[in-house]
Amino acid sequence: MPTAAATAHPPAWPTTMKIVVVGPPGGGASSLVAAVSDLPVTGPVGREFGRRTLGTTVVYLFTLAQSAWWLVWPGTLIGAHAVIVVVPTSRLPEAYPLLDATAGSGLPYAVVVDRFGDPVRHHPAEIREALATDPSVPVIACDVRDRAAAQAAFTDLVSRLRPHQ
Amino acid sequence: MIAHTPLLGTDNSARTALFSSLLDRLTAQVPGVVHAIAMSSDGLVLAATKSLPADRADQLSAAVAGQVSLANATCAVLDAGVYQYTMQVMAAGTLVIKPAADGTAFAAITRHDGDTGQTAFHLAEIANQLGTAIQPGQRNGG
Repeated sequence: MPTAAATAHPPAWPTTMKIVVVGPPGGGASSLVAAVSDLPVTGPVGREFGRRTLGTTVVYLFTLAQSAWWLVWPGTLIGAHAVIVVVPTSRLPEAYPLLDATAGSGLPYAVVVDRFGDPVRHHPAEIREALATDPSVPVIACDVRDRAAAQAAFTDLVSRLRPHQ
Repeated sequence: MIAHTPLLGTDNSARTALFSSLLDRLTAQVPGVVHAIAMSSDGLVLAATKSLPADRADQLSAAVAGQVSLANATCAVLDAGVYQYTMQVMAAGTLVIKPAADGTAFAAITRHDGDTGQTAFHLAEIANQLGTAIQPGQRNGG
């Protein structure tokens, strides 16, 4: 529950937030957006658009999960508050260039490890180590095709990625 | 690059009102234009004609943003100078996109019998008015 002090001052969070969801093609980025969007997801494969309202914040979601992602990377990041990198456990190396570019953008970011089709179920700590991400970067593992799990992971990440003023 | 015309969370009400009136005038003046939007460089709706429900406007804006960033990238690959227009001809009509210098873009959808040349011309006029239109917003924001 919010404290009296917190409710006395409305949160300085923006009423709109743009998050770019990136990942290898077919690696779960689009599935994550489809699982959390309260609009039918539109757009070409790997360039989908979704929208989700959380409390008073409207989160606009733009996926970038295409092979020539670097071509439209700067344009897609304009005005973005944060990036979510979706990494399929079976294809970690494909995410390295995306993680490098994301870290280089200077934006807050988080990693969603998509466990779909992964019988081993690596621990997030192992995956964090394999990806060599900074300890401050949230890493969450879930099967993004599991709607409830994807929603829980997403809301958790949005609260951690929200800009604080 | 990322900070290019950051518009989210800032007060754009004056700008939005101006763009709304310009877009509504466009649909009134050019026969065959059914919808129009103004999109900020981050891909979100700045203004839309009353004909477009908010959900559709958000989706169209995101689609236009994708086209604009791909068109800009294509111009760079071809070393072809500044991106001028996009026309997407469809069975039911044409989507005309006109980017402005600051990353804002304007788009209109015409019926299949609409005058796309007139539409493009009017979108360019709106884009050209942008230089003066954004001045007050920038002063207030700074």
